[in-house]
Amino acid sequence: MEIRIKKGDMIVIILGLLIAGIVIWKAGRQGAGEYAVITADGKKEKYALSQNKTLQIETGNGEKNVVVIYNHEVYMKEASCPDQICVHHRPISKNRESIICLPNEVYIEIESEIEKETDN
Amino acid sequence: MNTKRITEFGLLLSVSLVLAYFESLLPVMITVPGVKLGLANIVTMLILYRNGFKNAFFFMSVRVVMAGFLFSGITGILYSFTGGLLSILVMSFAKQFSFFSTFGVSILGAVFHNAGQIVIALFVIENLHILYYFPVLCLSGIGSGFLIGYLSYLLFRTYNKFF
Repeated sequence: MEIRIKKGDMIVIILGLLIAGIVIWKAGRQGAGEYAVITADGKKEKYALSQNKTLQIETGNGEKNVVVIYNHEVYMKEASCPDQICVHHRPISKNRESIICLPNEVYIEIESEIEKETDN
Repeated sequence: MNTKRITEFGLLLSVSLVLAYFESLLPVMITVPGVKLGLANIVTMLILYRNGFKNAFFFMSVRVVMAGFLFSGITGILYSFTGGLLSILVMSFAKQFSFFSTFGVSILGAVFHNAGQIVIALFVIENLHILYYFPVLCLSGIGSGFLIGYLSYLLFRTYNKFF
């Protein structure tokens, strides 16, 4: 073992930064979405962001998530999962943004009808 | 496995569990699932460099199961194990090439650890859009991999003086 940054290390770092940079840059250009699609228990449901709403989600294995749609933004208010990563996630509103609660298998994603054609 | 090796692995196992616990106490800075320092990997790196792939794999499996029951639960084990397996495979492959130092090996390990977790998430959530998490995890992998690479070098150097 030695402590020297070698050619291969640089290539890995630069390549990683490049890939991440491009994808994040593209994601930042997404416009606002109109729908929140919530996947829980393998079922998808769509809610308009224009209506403020508090949704209680109970999955088949007894887990609970509370999703709030407020002021065109969506966030996870409560979750019965151990890590609470989804609860700390900032509110989402842009097309393709998502909040995921891996332990409870709940997935919230923003969709947009207008931007669908420009996705790729 | 002789007695010395068993004792050594037991010690290192407890060290890596303490590191995992310490990490779980740190406030989560970026709240994306999968983003973490991976301090326990310092020990995995040490074993990979000292004792090779087989031992590192064995060590990682035991650690993941124990850390899972202590901190993150059964689903956590599935994610950590897939990530850990992929990460060790890639690291032991990359380590053979002289143009990678500990930094490169550790960064590749971290990035592929995250990739493995995303693959499991794909199966669980069944939504391809989860792949959008990869760039963020790629960035965090570069950062934490760099740090872990440096720390494991320090540990390796000190450890070899005593054992």
